[in-house]
Amino acid sequence: MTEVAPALAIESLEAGYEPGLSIVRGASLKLLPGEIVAVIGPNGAGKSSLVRAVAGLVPITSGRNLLFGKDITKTPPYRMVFEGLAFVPQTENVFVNLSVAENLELAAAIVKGNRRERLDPVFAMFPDLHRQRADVAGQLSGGQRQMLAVARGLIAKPKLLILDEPSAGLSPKLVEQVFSKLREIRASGVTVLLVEQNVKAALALADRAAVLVEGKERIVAPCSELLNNDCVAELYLGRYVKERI
Amino acid sequence: MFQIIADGLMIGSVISLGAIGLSLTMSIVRFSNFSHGELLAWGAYLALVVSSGLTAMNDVWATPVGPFSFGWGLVLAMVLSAALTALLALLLDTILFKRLRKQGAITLVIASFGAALVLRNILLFWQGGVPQYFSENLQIAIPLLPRGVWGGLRFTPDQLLVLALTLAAVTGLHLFLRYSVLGRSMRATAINPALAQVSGIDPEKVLRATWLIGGGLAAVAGVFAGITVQLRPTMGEELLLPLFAAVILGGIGSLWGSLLGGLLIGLAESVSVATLGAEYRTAAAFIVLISISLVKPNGLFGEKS
Repeated sequence: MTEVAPALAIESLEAGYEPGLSIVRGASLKLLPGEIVAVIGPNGAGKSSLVRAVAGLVPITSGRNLLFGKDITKTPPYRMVFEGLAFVPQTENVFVNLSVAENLELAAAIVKGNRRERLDPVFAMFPDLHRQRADVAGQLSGGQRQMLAVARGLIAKPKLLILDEPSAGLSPKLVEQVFSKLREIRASGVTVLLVEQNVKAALALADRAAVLVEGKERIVAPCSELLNNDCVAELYLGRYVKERI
Repeated sequence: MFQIIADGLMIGSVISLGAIGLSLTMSIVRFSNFSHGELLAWGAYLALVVSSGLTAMNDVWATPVGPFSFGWGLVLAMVLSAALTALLALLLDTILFKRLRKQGAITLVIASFGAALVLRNILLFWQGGVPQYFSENLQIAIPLLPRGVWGGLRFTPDQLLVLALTLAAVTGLHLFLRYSVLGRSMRATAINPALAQVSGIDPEKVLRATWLIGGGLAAVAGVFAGITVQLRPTMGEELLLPLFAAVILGGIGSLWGSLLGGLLIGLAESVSVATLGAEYRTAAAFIVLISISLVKPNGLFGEKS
């Protein structure tokens, strides 16, 4: 059997904002095409910094990232969408003073190509956004805003979609809506990497999860295994869930 | 009364065009560029040098066009000067501001003070301190309203042209920012630079466009100031505070805000010249600014931060 090139290979990545002060410390992770992988772990473990480093937004000091075999370690953040990687930031992830349609049209204009060919599939996947296309993005509800942020990422037709805490600030019902959209997106052939605080929901969504501790992956395993892992259940699920409730 | 308003609109046009460029750099490059006034002065003098050169080659260039005081030479000179001043702004960014961008806005502001001093003194050294004019031709003002109606209203053809071109430039820029990909990228970068970047917008390209547009508009504003008033090496310094007042009054980053802000500051200046005396005109501009800021702290068209 020939080995499939991973959608994303993070290899011994070291990254941080200040020189000599790494937040990501030698993390490695492989995503197979079509997988959903969640990065979970305690606060301050470097989850967001890890995915932001992959997107080119945090300076990388050593290690490398391969996107379908191509080295993107030194690719500037604005080139990532052209390489097939879309990143949805946790906050300020839509242009608040533009309308829904303007947000998506701007994204389409930047990556060029046929405008309708880019917009139509996205509007078909997000019919609510199509209904609200004239509304100003800043006035959308939290859930719709998150949907718009995801939709904006999809305009470039990425092969890999990275989301930084897509469930942040959403009610459980809305989290389920956003996550079921992510399932649809995966079904359309896009590989998904997401960072999540909401461990229970993340493990229910993802195929595999990586537990990140102090900037390095401690455990990488299928979610079903992690749910039954006593250590994870106690450290990151049991107490975490109890605390939340 | 009408005449005061008309004069205010003239000063206001110059301030507006300068303020629009300043506002663009403030919202996209994210610092207050104190050397922006010097770009107006350089724009005016570069146009003067080019138009004098053309006239020296052939008098035809100086033959007045229609009812205006200047010839085709100045028109061509203004276009060339806009291009050269745009490049000057880009050059300033490349050799100075770009290197300091990581140091934060305060460093950039101080650096722009330094740049302003250098630019102003080069101009003084090169052109001398004596005021100069684009044209020695006198113009007869066209009475639009007879003297009996509120003191009457007179415009010179030059002034009407300046007003019309200002509106045309602003409208053109509005269309560019609204409909072109680069223009929309500039707006996106002003609103949310991080998101603009992950959407695929090259921040350096946007910055270059911003400097070029800001520099070009500054040159046009400088030429207009030269046509309607006169050219002085210190004109940039004198216009700088009104420019900032106009930007803040209109709301940082707002095109129409800068236009309206510039016109209001111009009106405030001309009213104070007519009533309080010329020496109080800057004070009057700032009284308007302060009064409006009390009611609308983000400016007339400013976004709430």
